Amino acid sequence: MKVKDKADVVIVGGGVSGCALAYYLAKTGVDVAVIERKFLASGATGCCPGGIRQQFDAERKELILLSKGSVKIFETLDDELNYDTEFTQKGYLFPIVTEKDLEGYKENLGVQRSLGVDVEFLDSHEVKEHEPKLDVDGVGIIGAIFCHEDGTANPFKVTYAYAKAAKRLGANIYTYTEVEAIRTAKGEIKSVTTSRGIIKTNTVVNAAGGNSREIARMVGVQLPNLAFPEENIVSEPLKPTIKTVIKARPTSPSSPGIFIHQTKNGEIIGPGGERLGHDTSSTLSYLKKATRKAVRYFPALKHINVLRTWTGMQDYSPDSLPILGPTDGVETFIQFNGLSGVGFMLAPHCAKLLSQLIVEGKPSTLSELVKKLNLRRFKGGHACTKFL
Amino acid sequence: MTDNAQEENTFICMCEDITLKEVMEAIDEGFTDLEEIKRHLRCGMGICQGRTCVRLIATIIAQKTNQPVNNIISPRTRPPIRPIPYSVLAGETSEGEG
Repeated sequence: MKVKDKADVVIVGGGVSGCALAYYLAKTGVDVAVIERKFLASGATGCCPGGIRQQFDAERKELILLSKGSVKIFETLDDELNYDTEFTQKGYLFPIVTEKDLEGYKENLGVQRSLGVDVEFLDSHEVKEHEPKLDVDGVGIIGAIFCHEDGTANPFKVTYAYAKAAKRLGANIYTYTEVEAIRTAKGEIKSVTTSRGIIKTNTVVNAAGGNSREIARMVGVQLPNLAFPEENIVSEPLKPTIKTVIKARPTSPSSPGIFIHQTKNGEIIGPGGERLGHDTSSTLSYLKKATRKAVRYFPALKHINVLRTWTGMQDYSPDSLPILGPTDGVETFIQFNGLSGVGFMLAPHCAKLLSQLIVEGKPSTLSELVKKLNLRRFKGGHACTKFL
Repeated sequence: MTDNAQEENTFICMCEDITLKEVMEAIDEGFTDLEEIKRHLRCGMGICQGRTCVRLIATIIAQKTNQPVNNIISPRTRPPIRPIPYSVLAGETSEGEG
């Protein structure tokens, strides 16, 4: 199948970001084409364990604001798109094990509350009530921060929901189609050459996740992003065992941190594990580490089976904040990448903001938030510090 | 039985209770390879990890899209090949095993 020969906007990448943006653009009557190298959600979206939270550190207010907007969208998304995305608001629970952490979390809680996120502090007794199977005493949990608005959704379904709705509104989504070149002249985009033909366009969105650097290079733009693999694990389905989403930061070698929750289907997902490199095969060392962590927090899991592990590439920016908006020198080359491990939960809101930017076409009308997240913040060279 | 009723009553994936009708509809919707159908319908994500359904679905895709079944690429294998208890991988023995 050949691609259509022109489009108002070409989005590179058929993950949740690209498909959400296609929907919001198509909704305002923009003629949009999505180019996906493999199949929808085959990159970072597909390896995402599905968490949606508004609880971020005080120094990353941008993420709190972006995800807060996303939660609002998720709350009515199924009705809007006429699709069951398995959205839940079962709450994110951050267990705390040291007094020092407690102080940090309380500071975060203050900032989160000031931004309108309904977070609360739980003492160890209340943690047991919220999560009866969690080994509160064994892990040494002294309290937790909990937000009942946070939760989960199924990343595949959210992507398909957006893609299907976008198609209904006239968007063209081309899977198994590669971008081979992006032609520009005098700082303006002219066309995109794909493996199925050339599309004339003057706006290109780079939502290619782990391949964003390669796409940017086609326009002569250097992105500071670093892509690396994250492994994940899923159990056989079991009756409701974990009620909330448990997320703990690593604080010491003896408290390695965790991310774990149970899907609607009953499977336990997580904890994930990150590493450097480009190899996306599954490893035994990860399996051992992940199961050890899971059993430490939830001893009952000892008796259940691991069904499957998988690995996907995640796209990190140097400051672990998204890169959004126009590119200096090529204004209509729009970045939508560097989502840094939280792209699924941020996608709806980021896509909405970028669709407004593209439709209105005036960077001056941009919200302060998107302005702040422009690529130009890395001018002068920054390395991704994630693994330093 | 009509064709439709037969499709509704034929189970392709025993783990996730997916019928022939659902597989046919997914292909009509544009999910035309095993990786996509797996993610859309969960065939191959259940306890058997696709050992029962994958060959069946490959045949259905081949017939519906008019191509030889050898063209249909198998989904990527996701370890472990068989379900393994957490306790074994975590290096803990289960109760009663000492």
